[in-house]
Amino acid sequence: MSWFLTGPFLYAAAAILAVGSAVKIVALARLPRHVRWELYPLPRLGKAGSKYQKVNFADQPPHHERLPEIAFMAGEILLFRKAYAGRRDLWFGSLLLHAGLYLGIALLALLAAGAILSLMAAEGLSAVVILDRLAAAIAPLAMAAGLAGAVYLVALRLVDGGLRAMSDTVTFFNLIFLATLFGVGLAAWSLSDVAAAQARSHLASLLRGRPADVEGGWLAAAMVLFGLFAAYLPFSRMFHFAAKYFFYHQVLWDNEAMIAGSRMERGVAASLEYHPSWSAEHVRRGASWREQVSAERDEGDRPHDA
Amino acid sequence: MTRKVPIRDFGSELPILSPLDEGELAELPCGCCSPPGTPPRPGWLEKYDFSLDGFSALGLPLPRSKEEEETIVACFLRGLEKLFTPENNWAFLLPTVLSTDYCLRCNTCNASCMIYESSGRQDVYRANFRSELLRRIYKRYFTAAGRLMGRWAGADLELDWRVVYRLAELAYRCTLCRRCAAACPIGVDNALLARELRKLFSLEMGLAPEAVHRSGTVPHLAGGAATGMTPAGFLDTLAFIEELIEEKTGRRIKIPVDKQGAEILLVHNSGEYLSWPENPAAFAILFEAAGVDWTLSSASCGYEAVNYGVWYDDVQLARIVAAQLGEARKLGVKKIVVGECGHATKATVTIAERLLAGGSTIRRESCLPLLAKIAAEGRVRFDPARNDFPVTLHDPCNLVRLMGIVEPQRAVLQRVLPPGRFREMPRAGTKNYCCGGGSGFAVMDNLNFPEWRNCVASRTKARQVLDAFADCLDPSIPKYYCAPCSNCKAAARDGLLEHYGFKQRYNITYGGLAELMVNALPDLPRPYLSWESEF
Repeated sequence: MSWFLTGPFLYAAAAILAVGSAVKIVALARLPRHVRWELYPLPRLGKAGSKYQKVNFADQPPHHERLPEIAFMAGEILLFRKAYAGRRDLWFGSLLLHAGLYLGIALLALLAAGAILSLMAAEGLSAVVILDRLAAAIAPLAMAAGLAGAVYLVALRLVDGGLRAMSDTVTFFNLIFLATLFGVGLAAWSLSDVAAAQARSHLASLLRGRPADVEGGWLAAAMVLFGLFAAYLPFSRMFHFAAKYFFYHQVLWDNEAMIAGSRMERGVAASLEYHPSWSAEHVRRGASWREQVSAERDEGDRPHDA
Repeated sequence: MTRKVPIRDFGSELPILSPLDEGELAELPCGCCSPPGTPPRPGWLEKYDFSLDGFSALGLPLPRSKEEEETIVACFLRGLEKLFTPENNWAFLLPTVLSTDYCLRCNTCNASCMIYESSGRQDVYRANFRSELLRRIYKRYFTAAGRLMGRWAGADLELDWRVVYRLAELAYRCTLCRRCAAACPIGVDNALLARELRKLFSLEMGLAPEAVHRSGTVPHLAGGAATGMTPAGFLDTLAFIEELIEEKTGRRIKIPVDKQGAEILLVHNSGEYLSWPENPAAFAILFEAAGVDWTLSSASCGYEAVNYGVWYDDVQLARIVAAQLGEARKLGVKKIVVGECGHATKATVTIAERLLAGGSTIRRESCLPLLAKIAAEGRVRFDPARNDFPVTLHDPCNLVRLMGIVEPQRAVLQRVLPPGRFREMPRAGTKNYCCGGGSGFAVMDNLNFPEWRNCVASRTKARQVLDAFADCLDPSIPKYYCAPCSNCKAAARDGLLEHYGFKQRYNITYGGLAELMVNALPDLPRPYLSWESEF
């Protein structure tokens, strides 16, 4: 059973993560091009600001500054500046939790690099040793930060009446799940795998296609929890890290002009052929969006009584 | 004392779930207070639903039988399902799906919401409260996890007619200012979800505020303007405005109408002609003086800038856009310039673009950059000394936060005001607060809704204005609240002046930007702004 959970189960979890993420992202990307719904300021416009501030703005070339946009994104991704501005108490826990997650990703990358190197060369290669040491140093930081952040956020949601009122069961489940994952990870590091060599070695066995048995109950438990987390991630709100791309780049910052004959216009034209089934009296039954609009156009075209 | 309302109790049988207590409202500075509200009349209570907070924006008739109650729930669920299909909601589907699925319930949005803050932080007015109701209902009825696991999957709200009716009313306790979306670390747009709920109620259940639909977009499309102004009435009004211009300036100006091939088709909110004719008159004076090649349209829908559809109904929104652009094309103008009306500018200049394939062939712009150009280029001379009184500027949400038009109006004020007379409001620019009349509130006059609007929605703006004029509140000093948007002016008239008594107490009046420009023309026989008679 232990072999199954730390071997085939982890393969399945990784596959679910990859396929689930792809399905979710493709589903969002394939939704019809929506109408403009941006919010200013748009970082990429820099100090020039909105084009609508100029007469004959359509004659102006598109303005796009990479640096302010990158600076904004870095501030959000790494420092959570909006949360800092809006809810300092929550920001603190969120920063800790995300630090744990980011360091956890770094830990995984180091373990993977060490595993690949160990597969390509000898086990005692100095680079592998260095990677192991780095991983061993990062692991407790990642686990402690993630654990502290998740516990802090659970406590905050219990203490703060407003947060408690708006939190549903899933909110608490996600945070407790993360706290458990990081807590068990911390225990695994301290009780089973201080040098992180076992984790790297097991990852190498997984990459080789011959999963080994994991020694140490805590390490095995951490791996199983990680597998569950990976499989759950694409279907949970925690997938907001990917959704955030769409929120910002496809909605809040989307000020792309529609050019005649463009792909966007073809997409809108296709959407206008959808037949809405809304039931209100003022919606024409069976008519497409284009027909809904053109019917009123005809009415508007009637001779003026002036 | 804030009123706690757990989400799962939203369908509670309480006659009024969260009654508004004026003692709990956020305090205003300088001892300013609002008159006490009056409870719903007994006759109303027997007919209409007031069960959310004791107010009614929609005038929803109470169901009279079990069957009617069940029909309400069934219609709502049918509409909710449609809201998440491309056939019915392609125009807003991605933002709707994102904001439904990825909220982390961090409440960061709440502090940015003026309704929540003004109300004394009542639970039902949280920026994310109605969205959370929507999410839990959707999860409960349309996801496998919700159906199988109920509250364990975050789907703990059972639906009945009270929930539906209260949710319909709650969709009209948000001005769609989108400060919440700007504050959200993820980008979740609770205001959009309020709008989507309005859309569901309108397009599926035929429920929308009387002033916005039956007396708004319907007469707009049928007769030419949301105010009911017909083309003949419009031409009569123009004759009156020409007389007004002559009376005020001594100049006889012939306002160009239906001029084929003009550079600019100027479209105003038709409410301007009726309530603030000195605003379209000011545009005519400025354009004449600046030598602008412009025209108005007398065609049905050609002289009306508003598009109430943007607040509640995509079908009406698209129909009005098509009618407006169609009239502009018929005139062969180079571009449409939208007058001082925020939502109309947003709808016409940006949203219209992707609603009609091929509809973007006519250029569309806000009037503010053009006014700034007129102020800057020197062809028209201005004497700032004629505007020697304190002025503060309101940033209409649609123009500023939703379109990024921040600088032109300030550039104008720099040119037409003496140094030191302009003062920004606290949190000016893209962080500004709504006037309280946004998303249709300014025109919605159903039952006792205006009392709620004035007490709660306009409250934050009242505070901002008082803060901006804190050093000169003495009523001997006339002060000008410049609101370059028709709906914002209506909210100022009904909220700030009538409800809070700003004119009597502090000698604060309001008006548009073009009027201030004309008031600074050096060769006028007397001031264009008539402080006592017109405001």
